[in-house]
Amino acid sequence: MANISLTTACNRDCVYCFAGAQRRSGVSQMSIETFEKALDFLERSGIDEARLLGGEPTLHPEFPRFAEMALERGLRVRVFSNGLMPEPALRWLESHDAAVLMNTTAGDRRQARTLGRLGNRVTLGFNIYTPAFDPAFLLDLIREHGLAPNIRFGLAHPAADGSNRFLHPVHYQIVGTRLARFHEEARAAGVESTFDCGFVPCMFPPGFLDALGPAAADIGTRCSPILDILPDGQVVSCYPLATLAREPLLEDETAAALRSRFSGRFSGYRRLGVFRECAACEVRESGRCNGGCLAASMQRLRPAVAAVSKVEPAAPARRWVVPYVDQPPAFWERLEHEFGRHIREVYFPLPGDVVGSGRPPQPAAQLESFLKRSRLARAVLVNPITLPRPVEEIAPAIIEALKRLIGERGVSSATVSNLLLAARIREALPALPLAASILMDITRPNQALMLEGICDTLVPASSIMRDLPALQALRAAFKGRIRLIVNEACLPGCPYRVQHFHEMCAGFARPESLCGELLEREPWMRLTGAWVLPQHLHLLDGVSDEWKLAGRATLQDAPTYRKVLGAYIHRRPLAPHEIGGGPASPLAPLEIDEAFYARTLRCGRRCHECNLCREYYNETRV
Amino acid sequence: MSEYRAAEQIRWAVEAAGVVLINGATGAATSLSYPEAAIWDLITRGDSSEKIAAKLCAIAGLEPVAARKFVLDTVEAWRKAGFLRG
Repeated sequence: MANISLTTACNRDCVYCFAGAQRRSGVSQMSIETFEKALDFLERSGIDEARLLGGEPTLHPEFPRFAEMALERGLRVRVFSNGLMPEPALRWLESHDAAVLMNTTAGDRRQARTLGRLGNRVTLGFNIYTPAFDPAFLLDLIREHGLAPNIRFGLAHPAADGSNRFLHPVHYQIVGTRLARFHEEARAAGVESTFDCGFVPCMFPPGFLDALGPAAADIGTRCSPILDILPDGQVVSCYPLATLAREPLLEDETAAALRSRFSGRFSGYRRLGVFRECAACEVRESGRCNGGCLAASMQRLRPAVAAVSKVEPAAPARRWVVPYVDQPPAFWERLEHEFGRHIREVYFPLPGDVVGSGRPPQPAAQLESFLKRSRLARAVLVNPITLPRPVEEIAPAIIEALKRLIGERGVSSATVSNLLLAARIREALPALPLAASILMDITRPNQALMLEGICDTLVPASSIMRDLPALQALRAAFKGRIRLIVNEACLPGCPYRVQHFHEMCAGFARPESLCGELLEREPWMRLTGAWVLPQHLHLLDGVSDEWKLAGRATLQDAPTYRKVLGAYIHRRPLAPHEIGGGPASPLAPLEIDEAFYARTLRCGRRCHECNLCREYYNETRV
Repeated sequence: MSEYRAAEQIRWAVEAAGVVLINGATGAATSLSYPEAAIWDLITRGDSSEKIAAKLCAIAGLEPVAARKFVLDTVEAWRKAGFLRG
């Protein structure tokens, strides 16, 4: 077996995903030439099945063509999908002889469309990353949709770069016991269980493997390794070990030769096993178990295993979400040249007058040329502080506008300020990643739960942007990505905010910044706002997956935009008046000491009984 | 302060009956059983060879002179093998 990863693009963000390092370094799509090479490799290696995976493989724009090419070569096609497929891919799968292994999680209603249409072509897959799992819903899904009577269980293994949640071997026995019990229920319902790599015999109760039948042969011995061909044509032994070693796909290479090279490189590590006891285990000695997942075994090593081989450093993750400003193509070309490897997407408000966004309308004379010419990913804002009409009334027009932008202008995500509207968009456009706007005012873990299944990214409220414990609680509660705005600079919990944003969004000629009088009276409050300087970003690293630069109104000047973005990306120091913050941010040059800033991240904003910022302001402003 | 430290390329893990050392550069593995495994563990905790010898007297029931020689011989062999630097 060998897998062909068509794309790193994915429309889910599973916490256990072990391909996180590849996905964070930006979207990479396999070219047709590389796919041809991969098919040649399968044929040369005597492999008769093309296993297409991702990311989400059906998001590759040429997915139907690629799958067709594999069939034409006489290969069987198996697609590893999360079920959230674009319509052309789904139509192709309906009409061709291909199997689908669909990973599922309890209660994800978005998969129903695919399950209903593909029926018994689908085998369900379920990845276990916590001992508190309940697979009972899988039987309901199989019954309801007439799926293949088979479930493939996977263990979430640790990525060597530590980027995912995984099932710790200490929980293996609990999981094995639960699976054995479930297997009895499933078999009574005519459903068989199969097991992916990393399962070991000792995690199951005595007698279970004998009762399991042929599937038991895979338990303990499945890692050969499997080989994953990445979109750029490089081959890794498997995704969890992808950051440790990779090989080019050479013209005359076979799977057996590559496996042998990877096995040789990791042979010393094979001695480890996932448990201390593996070294003296009779089952392992007899060859009936190889000690479990190599990546899980490596977790036992002290210190990290990063020195195992010379792998090129990974490309920097695209972590910056930046504003569209009305600049000519040359500006965007230069921006892409200088910072393209760091920019996740450029955001702009939904064009036209369907609905407003969080800022006053800005010039957009160059927007069309940007959308046509720039290669930077683009995202659209649908985030007025309140919608001008009821959600159900306005949603169809917004969805139509989004469809046009996706199809004609390559928009690849949206930020939405209303949860019901986000839900309607998700139903209509399941492949479009959605971010919950800062204007949803999310501050608490229970709110994060409300976003589940609807929003992939969360921008926490400005009131907790400088509240580290609150951000940590959100980080733990929200399964998707957290995006922090670095320079919005509003006062925490500002009582004037809603009216201010309404005035900005409603197109008033001179929207007022209503906190002006307050700040004249208490200027030190400017130190308490929602901002972080580039040199202090590291204090928030653990709670943020990506950063957003605000500045549609304040960073329109090209040199200033580049200076501020460059400083944030490379963490070069800036003073707070230089970051393009709003009217509540410090206006005069102030030096912000790291110890002071760090203290304010944990102060709980008890300004009524604390003089820290007042005194710091008075001492520093001179 | 420790006289010896694990070489940068060496990674190690505790096993039921000792420790296993892995050379990250070559992938080669070496198993150590007790009492050598105890010496390795104590070195990585920053203990000096004097302190390790004293602990070995208590753990393995060795005479002080024999314990000291055992530690020094073991450490020297590991230094030559590239497991330790210092």
